[in-house]
Amino acid sequence: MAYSPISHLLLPMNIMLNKIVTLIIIVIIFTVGTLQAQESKKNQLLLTAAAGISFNSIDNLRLPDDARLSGFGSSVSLIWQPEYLLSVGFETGWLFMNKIERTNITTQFGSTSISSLWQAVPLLCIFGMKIHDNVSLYGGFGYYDIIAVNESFGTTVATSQMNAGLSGALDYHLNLNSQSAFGARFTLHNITELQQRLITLQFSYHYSLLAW
Amino acid sequence: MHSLFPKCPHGKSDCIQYIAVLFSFCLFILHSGCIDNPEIIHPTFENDTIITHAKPLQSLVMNSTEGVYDIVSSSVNWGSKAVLHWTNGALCFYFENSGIYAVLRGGTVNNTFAFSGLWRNPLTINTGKVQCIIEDTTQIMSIIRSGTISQLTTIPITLNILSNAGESRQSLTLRYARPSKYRNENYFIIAHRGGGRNSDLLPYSENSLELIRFSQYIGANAVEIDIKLTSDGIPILYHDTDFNSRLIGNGTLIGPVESFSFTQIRTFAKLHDGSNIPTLREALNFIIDSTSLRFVWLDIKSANAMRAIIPLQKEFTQKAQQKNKLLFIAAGLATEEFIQDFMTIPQFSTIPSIVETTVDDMRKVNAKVFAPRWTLGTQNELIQSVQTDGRFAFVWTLDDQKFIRKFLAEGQFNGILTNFPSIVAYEYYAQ
Repeated sequence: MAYSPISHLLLPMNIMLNKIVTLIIIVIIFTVGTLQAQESKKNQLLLTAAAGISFNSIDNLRLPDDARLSGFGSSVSLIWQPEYLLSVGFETGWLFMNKIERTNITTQFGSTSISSLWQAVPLLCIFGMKIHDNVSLYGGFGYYDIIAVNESFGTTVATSQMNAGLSGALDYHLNLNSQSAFGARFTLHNITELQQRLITLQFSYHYSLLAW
Repeated sequence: MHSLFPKCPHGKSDCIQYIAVLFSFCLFILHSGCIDNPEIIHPTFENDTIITHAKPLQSLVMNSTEGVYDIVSSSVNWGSKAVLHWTNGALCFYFENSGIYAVLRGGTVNNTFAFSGLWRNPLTINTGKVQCIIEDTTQIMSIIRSGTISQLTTIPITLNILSNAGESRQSLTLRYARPSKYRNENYFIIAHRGGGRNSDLLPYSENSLELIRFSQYIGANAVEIDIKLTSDGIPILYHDTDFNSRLIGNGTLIGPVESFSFTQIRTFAKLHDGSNIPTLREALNFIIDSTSLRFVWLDIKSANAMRAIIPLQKEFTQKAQQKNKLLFIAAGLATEEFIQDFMTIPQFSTIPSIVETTVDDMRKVNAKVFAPRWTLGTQNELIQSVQTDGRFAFVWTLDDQKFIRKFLAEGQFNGILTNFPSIVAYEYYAQ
């Protein structure tokens, strides 16, 4: 049918659906997270460092085919683990997004070499929860500072822009001793405002800075 | 051994918690894959023989057939009336419901009037192709030549409407009712951001040259365009402070627009429709040479752009005059800061400007236009006092059909800035 009154609802419904899903996630995490853990009663301040590879998995910016979409990705987080299942903390890091390098390209302004590098610094509030002896889940929200360096036509321009985003991570770890653990981590960073998605695969190291 | 991550409890009740958390995580993964932007597929007309082969109609036919039409039968819910308007040779219809519009190209093919084009509901993603074919034009031509336009009421005009996917065909029949009441008055329907926002899913990007052209067909006779300055002082059409994915379709540039030179911007930044970000010079040349627009509102987005814009404003006002084209170009002063900066320019009071703040500010800079926000209401006494000084008053940014109707019926403004020119066009011409 050429015209349907239902289609009037298409735009708001799409946005509404996303809001509902986000709300469900928040409610479930908070509801479950406030339940008391049955074993661990102590508080801990955990420092986690992770390093590995970062992939730019969604690119809606029509980057050229020769753009590099994977590179080094690191993150550092500080998490307070209370006596409850839910832990809370802050995460930052340095994530590769994309790089374009071309030499002697012809433009309407003459020949030039170009180099463009995008990297992201996450500034996230994160929530963590242990779901198995060796497995924890993390979810975060906050901002990603996108740092870009563009070199072209003999000029270098460095810019940065804050973009809102979300993250989710699955962390597998093996305890080394009472103070440290080692593991691997899969993280999904969804920079919603920029409509970019980064996937990181990292080795992680957890260290208890403080316990009481 | 005591460990950093203590063992988990494994009671039944805990399973529910873990499942809930896993469910949340899965939802997050799914949610992350969703892109909020709705998709729209605009019709294309590469092989449309009507558009390529038809001869343009005589201006007498176009002038005579403009007016308000009754919808006498329809299988689509586009309202009970429509306005027929000719713009630059395009046959344009604006319908009562939601400002649905149809823009058709064509003319005479043998003894037939044949037109083909697109229709769109600007408030939804509904769009598609539309055709209008009148087989025997003898009767129409004899009515027009005899000047008895009222007899056009006897001739039905049928539009064949296709959804974009082509899966359904509807029809709508109109009959001439009366001329457009206000078609000759000096009223400005001003298209926001050159025709509409990217979020309105128009066929072209906001502030692009093609959108400025398209804005005429969807009802505008004036445009508002946004001006930023490059690092080397070139005014360009761009709305936001930063290069971002909302406006830019390729991802080499990000960050403040003022950080990049024109050369870098022209080489690396493309709008979502693939076109270049136009310079103000290109846009004003285009408006003069390729459109019938009568007014340009330069919405200055950074104070440092002011001094680069004013010389271009003067140059292109003179160029329009040399070409005997009626075109008014005014610099928008949206804040006190801009007004103060404007007053440092020599002979500022002779430069056409638009003041958005107060009537006192308007008089202080001798602005030609006062433009208050629509939420302040019709303000009839104030607007009348502005107009008695020989100035104009525009209201911005008015998009809701019932308020557009109210402002047209009860207000005294000389124009409306809108994201939906077809709604204003219908309401204005059908009054």
